Amino acid sequence: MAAIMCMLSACHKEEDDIFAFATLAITTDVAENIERVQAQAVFTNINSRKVTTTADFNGNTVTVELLRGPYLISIEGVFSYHDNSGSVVMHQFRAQTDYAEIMDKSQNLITLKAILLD
Amino acid sequence: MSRIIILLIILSTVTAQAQEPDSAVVERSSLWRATEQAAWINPAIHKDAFRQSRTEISVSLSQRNESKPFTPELGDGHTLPSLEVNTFLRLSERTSVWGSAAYMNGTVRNIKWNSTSDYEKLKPYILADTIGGDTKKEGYYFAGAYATELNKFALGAELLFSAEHEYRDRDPRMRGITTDLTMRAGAAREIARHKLGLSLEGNIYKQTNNVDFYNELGVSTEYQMTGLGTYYARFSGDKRRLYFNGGGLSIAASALPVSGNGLYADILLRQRRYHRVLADYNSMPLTDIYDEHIAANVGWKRSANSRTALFLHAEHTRRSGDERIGGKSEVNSYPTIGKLTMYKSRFTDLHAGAIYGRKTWNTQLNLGYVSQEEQYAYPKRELSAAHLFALAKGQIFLQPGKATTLRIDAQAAFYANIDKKIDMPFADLSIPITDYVNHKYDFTKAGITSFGAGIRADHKLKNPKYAVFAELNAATDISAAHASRFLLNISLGAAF
Repeated sequence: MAAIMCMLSACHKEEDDIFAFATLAITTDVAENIERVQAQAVFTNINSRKVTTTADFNGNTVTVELLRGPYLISIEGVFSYHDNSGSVVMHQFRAQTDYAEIMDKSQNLITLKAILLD
Repeated sequence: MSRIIILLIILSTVTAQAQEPDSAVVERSSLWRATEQAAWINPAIHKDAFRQSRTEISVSLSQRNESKPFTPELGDGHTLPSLEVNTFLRLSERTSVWGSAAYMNGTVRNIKWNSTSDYEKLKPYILADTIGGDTKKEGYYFAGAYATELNKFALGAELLFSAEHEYRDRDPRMRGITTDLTMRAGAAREIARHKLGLSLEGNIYKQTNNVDFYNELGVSTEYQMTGLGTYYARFSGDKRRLYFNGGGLSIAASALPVSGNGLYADILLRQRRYHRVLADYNSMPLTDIYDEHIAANVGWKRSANSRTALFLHAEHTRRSGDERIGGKSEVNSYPTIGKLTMYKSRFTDLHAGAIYGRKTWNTQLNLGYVSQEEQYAYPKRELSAAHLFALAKGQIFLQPGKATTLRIDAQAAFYANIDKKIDMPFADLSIPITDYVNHKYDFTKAGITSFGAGIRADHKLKNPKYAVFAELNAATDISAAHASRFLLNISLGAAF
């Protein structure tokens, strides 16, 4: 009987994969490879307004597990790289996007270009 | 216990000496009919529910008062007068028609955390605010059915319609206009000394819901609730116009012994779904709630001078809710880019029961287990409770005069909590939401002690085709959450 009910009314498929991994990468025009980022990235879920923050950068990327959905992402801090002479160069920066879809159930890559503040 | 047995013996002796009570009254309200009432959802079975035709016109008053609201979304009381006509006519041995019409107009008091009608259907996906207040409620209800026998089959069809208008005439001015249409068709046939029945039911539901504010000084936030104190923040606030669309199907099967003695069984599967749609943003869908319900009874009954029935009842309701993920705004609309199943709830009722009695009195005892559980996926929230319960009922029909039939009912129930759990991110909750969630938990886990009694008198007039009746039912529920509820129903009517 349950099968008949399903045939007649289309069974409800639950969507229990509610989380996704998002990788945020910081790029800049002043260097090919950012080697280190010290900054706080803020992910605000646009639908629930829930805020997730992280500063756990590995090179120029940070990966965080989030509820799937659209996000407002902002980041502010310092990045560093080696210039052609081998010296370490540091810049204060910020970056932001007011809409990024983190919907893929496995991996989502978001790239933000750094705006220099110094 | 011994006092109850002595009382029953005395009463049964009195009734044995008295004349027979009005059989049309007895067959409509005897506890014994509980053994087959679940099967009446099939109109082809309902056709033979009563041997005698009867039409009743009545005015009624339903009153509910709670010292603290048991369910804030339903208010802490109501006063609902109504006018009702019910009829069941046996046109012949093979054919019956029945139907009803009713009008209700009253007040529901002190509703909180709910600005939407039909909370029990649509929960938890409702519009809500922290202010609330009284609402006025008006409803129209119609039902009609026809069933007959063709060859060896009984066939029947039934249609039920209700329309309700609920509103508040001070801020926040909620308004809910609902229509609910149910159509049933069923068949039954006698096989192996049992009447086997199968029926199908379809339902269509709609509600237009909005909240207005006339005060220029400010408005309160209307929350798009999503369960256990969560809400859809992006579309809460000033999005106060909603549509709810829904409905679903049910299938029921039953087997009743033709002689009235033997094994009986019935099962009901029901599926309902309700969609919440914003009137703004090009009718943006917000949430979908899915309700799956299964209920089954298996029993044995024997009816001779005395009546005995033993039965098992199992019931399970599972609700799951999807939140639609709104994407980027495009020309004043938001595309749906996905959905997440965030809310789940379960309700289970398992009990065993026994009915024992004679033609003019009945007793019933149910012993069982009920549990309820609600979960929200992230941030994780969970609330659950389980109870053991015992329910005892007694009923007697008396005939104090030649033309008068008296029915007296009494019942008592006790629900004892055996398990409870709450898991909430209290540090992230606002004070009103914390209070709301704690109140919900207090009343979900609390044990309840209930007492109820009722009396009904039917008096035949000089022309015995006509009768008048008066009925009074009162009950009280005492919750371990330091609250009590008092229920009163009064009906006055005429029957023919």
